[in-house]
Amino acid sequence: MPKPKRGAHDMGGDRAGPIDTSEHLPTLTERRIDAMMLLLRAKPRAFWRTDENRRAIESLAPETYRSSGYYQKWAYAMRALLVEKGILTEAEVDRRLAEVRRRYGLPGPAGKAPRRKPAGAPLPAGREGGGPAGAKSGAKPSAGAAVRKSGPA
Amino acid sequence: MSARFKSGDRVLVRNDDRQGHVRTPSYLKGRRGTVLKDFGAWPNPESLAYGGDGLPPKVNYWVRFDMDEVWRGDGDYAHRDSVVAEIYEHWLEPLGPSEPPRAKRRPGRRRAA
Repeated sequence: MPKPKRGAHDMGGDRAGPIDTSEHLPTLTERRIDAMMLLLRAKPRAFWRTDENRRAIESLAPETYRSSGYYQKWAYAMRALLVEKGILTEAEVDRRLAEVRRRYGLPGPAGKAPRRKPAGAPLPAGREGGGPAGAKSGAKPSAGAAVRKSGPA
Repeated sequence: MSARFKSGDRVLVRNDDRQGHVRTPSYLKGRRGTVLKDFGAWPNPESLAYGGDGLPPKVNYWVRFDMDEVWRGDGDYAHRDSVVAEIYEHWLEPLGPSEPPRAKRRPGRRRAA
């Protein structure tokens, strides 16, 4: 029977192979990502909701989704949502990442996760390109963090 | 908002392959199950995920699926086990007359997130 198309996250029933269930302490980076997420989502700011966070993670390209760890996915989601909400621009994030790379003498990409094409997902139009213009022009309901404040989850 | 289904109702999960954020896992699409419990109406996560207001709210149910119905012989699984998942009402279609809930059988331990 033909099964519906599905994203990389929608993996119920797939062969998972052996699962590493050993415990490990969170790394400093993981703790920082956790703390940032908590602050960004704490009231009264609450810049985005759980469902938006899930959607942002599920929007990662399948290769990125599969090869990224739990907190790596959180970091990608934070970046995407901060830009989507107009809190940061792509240019600001890129500039800051370039600074950090310089500081530590690191080569490499800007750290932006490739997005899966939304394929009919009701993402606000004109956001794909990101950038200051795209972020500022948002008259769409998801544009302002202020909108978020009114409604409890 | 009143619930369309009640405990014991047989339901079919819509085989909808719309992309984007949904809370219905693909492995349950097109599968038949039995409503265990209704959890009342909640803001629709498929709207909240895109910055929407989640209105109108959608009733959420615990639905039990027999593993044989879910996997249909494909793969290794406990044939007499079942899986319970939370499914929102707009993903469910009524399926024939109700049957009494099988109270004696314990639902499976595994829950779809």
